[in-house]
Formats: sequence, C-alpha cells, structure tokens
Amino acid sequence: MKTIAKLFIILTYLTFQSAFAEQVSSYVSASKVGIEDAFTLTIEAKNYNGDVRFPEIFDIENFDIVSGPIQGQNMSWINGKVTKLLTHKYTLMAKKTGTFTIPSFTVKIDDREYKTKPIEVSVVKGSLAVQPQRTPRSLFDDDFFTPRPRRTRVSKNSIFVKAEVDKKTVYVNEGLTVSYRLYFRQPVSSPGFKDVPDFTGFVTEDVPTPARIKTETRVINGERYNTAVIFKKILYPISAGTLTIPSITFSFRVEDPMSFFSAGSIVYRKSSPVQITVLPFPEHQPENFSGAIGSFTVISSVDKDRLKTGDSLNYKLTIKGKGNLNPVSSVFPKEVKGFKVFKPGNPVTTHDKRDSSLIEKTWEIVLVPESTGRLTIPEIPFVYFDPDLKQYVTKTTIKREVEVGQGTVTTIPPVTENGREVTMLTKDIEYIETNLPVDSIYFIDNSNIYKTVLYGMPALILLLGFVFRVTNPSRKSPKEYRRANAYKIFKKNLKEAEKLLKKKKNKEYYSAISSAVIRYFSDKFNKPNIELCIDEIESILKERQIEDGLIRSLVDIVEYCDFESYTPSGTGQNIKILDEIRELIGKLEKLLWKNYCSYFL
Amino acid sequence: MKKLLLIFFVSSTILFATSNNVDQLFMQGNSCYQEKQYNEAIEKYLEILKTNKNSFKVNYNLGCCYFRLNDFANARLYFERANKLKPNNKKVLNNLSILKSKLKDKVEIPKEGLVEKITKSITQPFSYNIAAILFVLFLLITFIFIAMIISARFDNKPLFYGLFVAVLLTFLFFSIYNSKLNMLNKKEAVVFAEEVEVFSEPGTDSALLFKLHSGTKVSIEESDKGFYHISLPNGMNGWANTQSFNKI
Repeated sequence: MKTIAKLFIILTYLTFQSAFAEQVSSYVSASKVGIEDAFTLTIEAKNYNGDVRFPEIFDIENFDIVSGPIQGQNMSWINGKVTKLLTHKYTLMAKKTGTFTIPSFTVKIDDREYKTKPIEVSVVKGSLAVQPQRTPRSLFDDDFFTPRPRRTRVSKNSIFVKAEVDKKTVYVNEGLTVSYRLYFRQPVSSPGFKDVPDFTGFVTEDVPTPARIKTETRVINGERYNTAVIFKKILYPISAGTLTIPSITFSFRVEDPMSFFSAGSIVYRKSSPVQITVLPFPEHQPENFSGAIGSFTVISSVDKDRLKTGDSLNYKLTIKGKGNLNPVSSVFPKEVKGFKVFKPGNPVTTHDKRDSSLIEKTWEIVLVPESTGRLTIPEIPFVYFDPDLKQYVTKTTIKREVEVGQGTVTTIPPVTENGREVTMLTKDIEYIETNLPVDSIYFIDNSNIYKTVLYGMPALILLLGFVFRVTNPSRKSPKEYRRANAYKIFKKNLKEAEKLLKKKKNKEYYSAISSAVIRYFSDKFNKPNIELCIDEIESILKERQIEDGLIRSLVDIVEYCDFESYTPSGTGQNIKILDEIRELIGKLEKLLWKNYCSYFL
Repeated sequence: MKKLLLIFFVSSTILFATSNNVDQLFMQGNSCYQEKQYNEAIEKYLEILKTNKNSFKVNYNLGCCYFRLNDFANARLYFERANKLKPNNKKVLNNLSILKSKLKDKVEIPKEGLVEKITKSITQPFSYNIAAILFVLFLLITFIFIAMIISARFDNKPLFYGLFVAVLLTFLFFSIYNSKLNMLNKKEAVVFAEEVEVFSEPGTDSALLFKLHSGTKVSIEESDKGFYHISLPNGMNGWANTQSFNKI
C-alpha cells in the first residue's frame, strides 16, 4: 500500500513538473517596422511533453503572410537539463501604416491548450532596414551563427524584371511569347507572384517553366547582371489595334550574402507594361480559311487501303507546324462521295517536347463505304495565313484511294460516341396510295336503312309502349289492377304517414300506418277494406306458406300501431316503425310476387 | 326463290365487273405516276372519279399528281377533298402542309382556344360513321326507356334514371355527329385563278379589299350575282367572282 502511495506521489509530481515546464510563446523580429520591410513572426513551444499542434494560420489582419510556416526544432542540454524547442516561423509584411495587433494563437500539446499573447506592431512609412554591416564577424563571436537582423536593403537597380516580347507587331490570333526576365546582382531565390492581372484582349497559354532556370549574364548601362527568364506566356490577341500587355508583380526572396542561416527578405518587383500592334488579316480572305496562323503542313493517312462493305476506314488528318491552331475546328468535309462520314471526335493536340512552339493537331475520322469499287477520298485543302509571307497559303493532302469489296455482313455503322443527329435535307410530299381495292368512303347517314331507323324506330318503340300499356291485364280487371298497384299505393300511404309524423300528430300517424298495411293486403287479396282485420291477414298469409317469423313481426307492428292510436298519450314518436314496416312489406311483396308467378306457372 | 337467287347473282357480277374495271384504272394510274407520266395518271384517276366520287385514295393520288406538275390549285383541291373524306390522315396533312409552304398566300390560322381544344379532343376519336351510329343507338335507347315508362308495367324509378343517362348520351353523340356533319357540309373553295380581287360588295365597282392567289382555300358564306362572299380563317372577308373558284 505504501509503495503504491509513493508511486502515486512521484507520478503526480512528475506530471505536474512537466506540465509546469511547458511554455508556449510568440514574438516578432521587430515591433516597429517599415511598410516595405518583411519581418518574422515566431510561435514556439518550449519543453513540450507530447504531440504539439500549431495553429494553421492563413490570414492575419492588416498583414500579408509572405511565406511560412518554416518549422524548426531544437534541443539543448544545459546543466543536465534537457530543453526542447519547436518553432513555426512566418514572414510577414504590413499592408498599411499604423499600429496593429497580431492576435493570440492557440497551440495544443496533446489535450492541453496554450494561448500566446497578442503582439503589437507599429508600421511606419518607408523602410527601417539597415544596410548589413560589412564588418567581418569573428568566428569566436558568440552570435556568429545567430541570424542577423533581416532588414537587408535591396536597391531598385540591383533586382528588376523586364518583360520581353518576341515580336512587337503581330496579326490577330498570331501567338506572341512574352518572357519575364529577372535581372539581379544579388542572390535571389524562390520567385513567386504577388499580382497577376487579367490579360484582357488576349487568349493566353502558359508555357511550363523548366525545372532548372538557365541564367545568363547581360550588361546594361555598363553594369553586369545575372539574368534568367522566370515566367513565359503565349498570348493570342483577339482583335486588331494597339494592345497593352499588363505588368505582373513578382515576389522574390533576397538572400543575405553574409548570412548562411538567414531566410532572407522579400522584395516585390513589377514588370513594365509592353505595347504591341495587332494587325488584322489582309483582305480577300479565302472562303475556306480555317483561321489558323503560322506555317503548317498537312498529312493524311488511312489505316488500310482494302476493305469490305461493312468495314470502317480510319482516316487520320494531321496538321503540323508552328503557329496558332486553336481556331481550327475541323478541316475534313462533312460529306465524301461513296462514304458515310461520321462526325470526327475531338482532335488531339500535342506539343513537341523539345520545341514547345511546334504543334501537331490530329483528327481521326471514321468512314464507312456505302458502295463497292475503287473509292477516292479527295484532296483536302487547308488554308492558313502565313505572317512571314503575309499571305494566305493553301496546303492539301494527297488523294487517297481505297478498294472496297463486297462484304458478307450487312452494313453496321461503327459505334461512335459522336454520332450525327438525323436532319431533314429537303421536304417532299408523301407517296401515292397504291393498295387495292379502290375505296369508296361511305357515309352511313345517306343510307336508307339509317334514315328508316332514325325516323321510324322511335315511333315504333313508342307505339309498342302504348300497346303494352293497353294490353296490360291489370287494366282489364279492377281486381288485377288493385293487386298490381297495391305496393305502389302502400308506399304512397306511408309517405303520408311520414308527413303526419312531422306535423307531430302522433295518433293519426300510427293509425295511418295501420290502415296502410290493411289497405295493402285488401288490395293484394281483393278483399273489402273494412272486413279485413289483422287476424284474417295472418290466416291468409299462413295459407300462402309465408314464414312464421315474418307474419309474427307484421302482426306485432300492426297491433302496436292500433294500440298507440287508441291511447291518447303515447310513449312518443316511433320513427323506427316506419322503416320496419317498409322493409317488411317489401319482403312480403317479393314473396307474394313469387307466389303469384308460381300460381300462373 | 329462284328469281331472287338470279337477281342476287346478276347484281353481284355487275358489281364485281365494275369494281374490277376501277381497280384496273387505279393500277394503270399508279404505274403512270411511277413512270412520272403525271398527265396520263390524272386521266386514269379522273375516269375513276366519274363512277366513284368518294374514293379517298383516288382523290389523294390526284393531289399528288397535280403537285408534281406544280399545279398547286388542283393539288390543293384534291387534297382538301381527300381530307374531307378521311379527316386527319397523316399523309394528307403532311402533303397539305408542304403544299401550303409553296403557295403565294400565307394565311395565318388563329390559335385554338381551350373550348376548341376540348371539343376537338372529344370529337376526334369518333369517325363520322361511328358518331352517326352511336347517336341513333342512344336515341333508340332513350325511346325504349320512354316506351317502358308508358307501358306502366315496371317500377318507374330505375327507368327514370336510365332515361336521364340515355338522353345525356344522345345529346352528346348528336353534337359530335352534328359537328362532323357541319365540317363535311362546310362550303369551301380553292382559288384557281392566278390572282383574285376581293371586293367589299358583290360587284367590281366597290372597294378592292385584298387579293388572293391560286391555291388558297376560302370558305363560302353566301353567293349573289355571280359573286361569292368568301372568308379566310383569320377573319378577312369580301366578295369575289365565282369563276375564280372551284368548290371542294
């Protein structure tokens, strides 16, 4: 137990100790800087114990981050104590003059968060950089290896950028190369852009910068400069007139020749704008002018010279040369006699590896022969403008002939991604009707049968209706008539009873129901109304083999109604009885109808 | 009975013979058309029309022949006649639209309104004959219901419902049939003269309103003193000499 307690104490002490020793801070190389000066911001973690995560800084208000972060690591043993140091360094430049605050940053070591203190920096006009001291430093100086103050003065004449164009006068669409050449007398490294303008009025194309920049020496105004082309662009002017190539601002790091460790300071250099003259194409432009400018050759090839119907032929058309081929979309004609031409796909453009101005553009066209025999693909003209000769030049491919034999397979066009939509060439009327027999459109309402049916039949049907009415046996004998209409009259009487119910004449309501039922049966069985009572009805129904249940409920209802109509103060209105009796008589009507029919049969 | 059989036999042979003759003429006309002898083809087809006026095929073929001869007025006339015999035939509509594009007069047809579209969609599925038959059928059903009610032998309630539905359907099919009948009997004509002057009154001494050219279809409202009162789909109307027109 004791040992565990001891261990615990030691452990807590150790962690406390290490945690206590951890220290995070930030500082700048100078708290007062000129607007033209670059300075460094350092964030460091000391005696850290764990995984250190520095903040990712992309943007600091009022300052430009010129470069960084540069990571550094350091370890030292002093008096047996280990001091570990981890730094992130940023090179900053102020955007404007005034006093600004670099905010505090959060550094995480494992899960622990540390905040740096905000730093105030005052920015003044101009530059506070001092010329590097020329006094040689002794190896024995303490600070021999420490970086010198990074305020190197760089004069305008020692580093500058010039824009060079290969020609000052070009035609529209003719490419011109603009090279930005850096002149320097001081060691310079890591060129970059600060500001790249829009090249309005030009179509631009970047030229890849070689991995190794070639330097050469030039003399300007009696001063020797090292020069190097740091950036190249090909520009194609869109319209004729006087155009200005805008200036680009580059950034460089100027290394201090005296300091081996110094990261150097940042300088900005703006190239001067260049004016060029753009000439329009001369007049009398040929009709099939492709828009290309330069000097080119055209080559054509086919993949086979013998094929069968159903096969496809690959025709390759290549334009090669120096100049601008961008405006050329397609040279191959849309139709070739004897062939079905499939719309060519996107051309393949390649630059020569050794000379990037040498361009090759290739189209592959699929042709499917539509007939057999010797078929010719004619010469294909390619018209371009040659700025050196100052005239339009036409180059043609050589004629290609292929032998097409009869194939065994039916023509199946090759599957191409870029098919052409079917378009109507001309419109014409449709072909005549040739099917026999000759038709004769017949209008049915002209026929006599139709007219007879239309005018005669309704009258006939009406007549039949009357005949049926007259010949109705119920009309002949009143007995039959009563029997046939018994149900109809019953329903009518019930409706009357319903009206009485609404008028709240209870007594009359019940007696009306009762008398309606009696009336129905007297009509049905041809008995005088007065003589008939419920007992007699019961016996007749029993005679006719009607279910006992039905008879029972009928008798119940009639007796109930009679009772209600004789007692002056009833239990109230019974609407249900109306529906019950209606349903009951409906059933009886059907049964009696069946009975009646069977009687006849 | 024997007599009846004989009559049937004779009449059928006569019918057969005439139809055979017509078919032959039709085939001759077709082969002339194929050989591009359009005038000969027209002769044959016209011969058929003398006995069989209501042949859609012959009218249509005649229209094609005249179209090939660039006689657009005649082509229009026969295509329109074919269109009346068999409305909304694709071939005829296509040919008419191509023909119209070749005419000098372009008459703008006003856009269909909602009501017109609905009526069109109701009337379109029924042919003339079907509409006529359905109208008579529902008329008879209506009368049967009435007769049943008159006979007083049945329960009236379902009969009245039936009558109501039958009357509604009768009216519906009567209106469809009637609209088809109106279309068929619509008086229309094609301009045959190279140019026709249309006046504000029947007579050349009135104001000249507009001019029409051959191949244009007009509808005839009335006629008076050798003049037709014609109107165009866009509402323009006036009087023009009857001699410049051929009725469809």
